[in-house]
Amino acid sequence: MAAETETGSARVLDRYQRERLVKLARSIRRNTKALVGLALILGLVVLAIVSPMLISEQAANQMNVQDRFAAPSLEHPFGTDNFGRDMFSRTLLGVRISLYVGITSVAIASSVGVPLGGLAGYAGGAVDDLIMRTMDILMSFPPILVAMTITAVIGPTLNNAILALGLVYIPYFARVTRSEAISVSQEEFVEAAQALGERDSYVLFREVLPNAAAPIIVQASISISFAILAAAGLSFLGLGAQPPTPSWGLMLQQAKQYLTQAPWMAIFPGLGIATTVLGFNLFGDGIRDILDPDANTEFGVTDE
Amino acid sequence: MSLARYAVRRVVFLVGTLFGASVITFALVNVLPGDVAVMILGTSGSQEQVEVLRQQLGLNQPVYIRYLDWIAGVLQGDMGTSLRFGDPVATLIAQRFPASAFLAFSALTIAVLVAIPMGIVAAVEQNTWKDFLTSVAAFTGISLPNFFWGMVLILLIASYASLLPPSGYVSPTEDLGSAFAHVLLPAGALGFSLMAHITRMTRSSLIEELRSGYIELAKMKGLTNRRIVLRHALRNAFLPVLTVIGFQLGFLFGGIIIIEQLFAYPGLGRLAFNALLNRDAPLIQGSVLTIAVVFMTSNLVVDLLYAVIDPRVTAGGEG
Repeated sequence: MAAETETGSARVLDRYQRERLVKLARSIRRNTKALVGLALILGLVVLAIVSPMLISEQAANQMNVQDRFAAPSLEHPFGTDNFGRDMFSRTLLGVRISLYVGITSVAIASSVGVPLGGLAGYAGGAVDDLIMRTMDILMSFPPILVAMTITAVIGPTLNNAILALGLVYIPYFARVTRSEAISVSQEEFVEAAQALGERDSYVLFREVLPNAAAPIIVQASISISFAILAAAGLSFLGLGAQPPTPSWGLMLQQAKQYLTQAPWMAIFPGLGIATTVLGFNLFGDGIRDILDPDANTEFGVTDE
Repeated sequence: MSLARYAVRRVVFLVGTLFGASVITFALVNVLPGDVAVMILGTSGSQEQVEVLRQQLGLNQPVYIRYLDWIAGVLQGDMGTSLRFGDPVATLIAQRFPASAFLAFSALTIAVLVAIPMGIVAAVEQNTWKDFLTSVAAFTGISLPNFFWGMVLILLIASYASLLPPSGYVSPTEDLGSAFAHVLLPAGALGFSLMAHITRMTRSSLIEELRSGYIELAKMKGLTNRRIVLRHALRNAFLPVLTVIGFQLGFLFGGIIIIEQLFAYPGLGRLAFNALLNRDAPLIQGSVLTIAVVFMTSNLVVDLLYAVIDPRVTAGGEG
């Protein structure tokens, strides 16, 4: 009998959640910010998939000293760098690295932060206090400072930078999820599930968290853009991707010494970062506007 | 709740959080792989020398004893001695602190001075080319890392135009003109995203204010547009701007590290970064904790300002 109610309520729930998503998708079509953001993100995803098929990383790392500092031309649309490497291939390969950094670090942050925040909001009381006070402590440092320290400690590699950024953004997901979980927990369907005697973990993961998804998506989108900027900063300081990885932050670091000689070495990776960050920012802002039409949202900051 | 009680509560809360922050700072540094004693002596040190030094540095004691030693010292203003420089950490930090404070303060000032007028123009002349231009500038500003803007400023203003020096620091107490000349570029780069955020937020909150009922009333009373914007709407649009500043403080303090590195600016951020590269444990602990303290105190100041301006904050209990 228990199994029957479970599948029955699960089916109703699934339909409810699917309807909400369809509604959200429909509103995205009517919101310019979200639409432009989504278009940029999809374009970048296509580039990230296609460019490694067309350009081998080996060829992009191939040094060709006679050709160094070549200005943009037909042969090298984005010019060449101090080693004569083609900036066009390297910038395109950078798309995949940038998306990988942003998405993976946010996946780490949300996979810890969302359950923690959900638990805090759903359980309340001492559990809530314990979790959220810990999050407050983690938030008492500027994020990049902690990420730098962790990366310097465990070793400067791209994956360590991702891990560090993932850890640093946990509290932001916990906060958003907690406040959403508190309001969802008061909904009738949650009370109904509790009255039916469902386990707390079932209620939390199957009912509370899925219905708190929209603001978490917003947070994720904005956080991806922060993470991409932060990772570029870490690579710029030598604490992220290491040469000869075609990472945009690293390319900017190399460009620094040759600014007057070869400004294109900085311009194109910069454009890459700008496009990616803008895409995720616009998408996040757009969704936020859809969810809460009364609030003013600008680049992830809401006045409330 | 009264404002005073709210303030006291927030300060008590801050002290608790700072205690936690000190534990995290210490923990971060003390899982550093590699033996500090070996690092100081280099490969030339014999096993006995290393052992003696470990003893001297107290490295053989359990971690919690070392933490208690450290935090007891910190509370008395003694943060230990830098392994790299051989000077007291507190002295090193005190030397670099004014430079960073000057940089952060300049960045904040430049951002506010440029962004608020831009936001006002964009809001008042909504949907004109001026509005469009500020929007584009703001979106570009937010989408690029601050060190990119730093490089652009170095290239255009220091290299091509030779208007300002590309690096270095002069204390404002020594030579005010030269101090500003040196701080303008790094502060501009550091304040860029803040500027973009404040412009957008001023614009959107001002647009909303201008639509509201009391502005209609002011118009009916025959007040000039200029007066309405400056006296009435802008004051009410200030809260969201303060929110942005509070939200951006983390980026400002984090940005200092990269910007100081790019502009060879001798501040706290550069000190912390070099400490990390040198694995100078006491100096890392000291500078990371100092940055956290300043960061949290600034957050508190923003929150209290917010409470002073908007009485709803204290009424609601939680900040």
